[in-house]
Amino acid sequence: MAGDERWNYGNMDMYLPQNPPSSGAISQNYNQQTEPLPHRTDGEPPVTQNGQATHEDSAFYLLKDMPGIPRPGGPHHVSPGAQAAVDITGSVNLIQHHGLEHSFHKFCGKKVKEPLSNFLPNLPGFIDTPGLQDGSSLRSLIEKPPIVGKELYQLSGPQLQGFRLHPGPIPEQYRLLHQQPPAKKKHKNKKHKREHNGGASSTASGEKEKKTKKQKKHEDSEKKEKKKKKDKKKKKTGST
Amino acid sequence: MAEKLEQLEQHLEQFIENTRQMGIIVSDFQPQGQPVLNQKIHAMITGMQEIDRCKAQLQDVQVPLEVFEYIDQGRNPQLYTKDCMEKSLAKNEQVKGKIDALKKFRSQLMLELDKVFPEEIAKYKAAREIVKEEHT
Repeated sequence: MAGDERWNYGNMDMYLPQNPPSSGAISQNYNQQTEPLPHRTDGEPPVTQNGQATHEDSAFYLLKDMPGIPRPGGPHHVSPGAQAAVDITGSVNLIQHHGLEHSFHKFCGKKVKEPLSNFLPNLPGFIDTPGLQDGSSLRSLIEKPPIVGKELYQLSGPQLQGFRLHPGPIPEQYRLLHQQPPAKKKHKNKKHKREHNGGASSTASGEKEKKTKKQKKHEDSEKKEKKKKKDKKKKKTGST
Repeated sequence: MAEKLEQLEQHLEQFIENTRQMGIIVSDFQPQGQPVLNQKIHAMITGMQEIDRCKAQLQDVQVPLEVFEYIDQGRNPQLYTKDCMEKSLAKNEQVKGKIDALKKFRSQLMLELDKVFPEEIAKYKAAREIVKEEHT
């Protein structure tokens, strides 16, 4: 089928060394080859000019780097980036390699609490609610960035006149903005005490009743004091 | 870098506290509170000026956009770091598994090829040795 036809080995030329090595048994075959070898589709090895089969040459297709072919930077030159890239593979623990063990144990070893308020405990208001609900999301800030680049100046006297407010409370719909989330009460000690005082349940319930009564009295007194303060303020405003 | 971030954090906390106090004053406003409110407005503008000055020092700070999704959902941003670490570890293990499987395949292939093509494999191994010597 191949017969006398000779196919051009466009790709195969790169596997044949142009400068044969000075020593080695393998180099003996290089000197014999002056033309590209014809391609055969019948499974037989390629044939040289002498008509001899070259089994040994077909094995070199498997090599990435041919022996005897000089590298651009010299025989022993390997660029640092290339060498580093060869050394670091997925078989290495990359977290250890980059010195991130401490960070890994910090974030993955301990349980990280879900809500945002645990990351920012000092911020007032409800911050655990999604930003899309009240239009305070960071994504909207990126999609519609605010006007920036203008100078910030203090307001003059006439400009501050616009901030003169009428006395009195604001409507109820706006009061929720200033409400704080309820303080998280730690019940661990109480639970611990309950476990120890499992038999004396009646006395514990009696103590609870006393505590609730005391709390109610305290709250009532506080409410009365607040009312008195408000009345005093109203009297003052009425007089002026 | 840590100092600049701390400074920005302080300015932001002061600004938020000032805003909170303004909200308390306004929620039940009294006329004698007007000078205090004006003072708070001045403090707010000063706070904005200070935060604007901090901006120039933090131009190099890069934040991944995925963190914003966590914050917008009301979740702790440290969970993003945790998820990244876990994904990296999982991918690392996956790739290591592939490398180990390919190594086993290679050694098995060499064994079988050595049985079928002993001469070629011997020459191939000799050529590999030469290449290794050239590298070293």
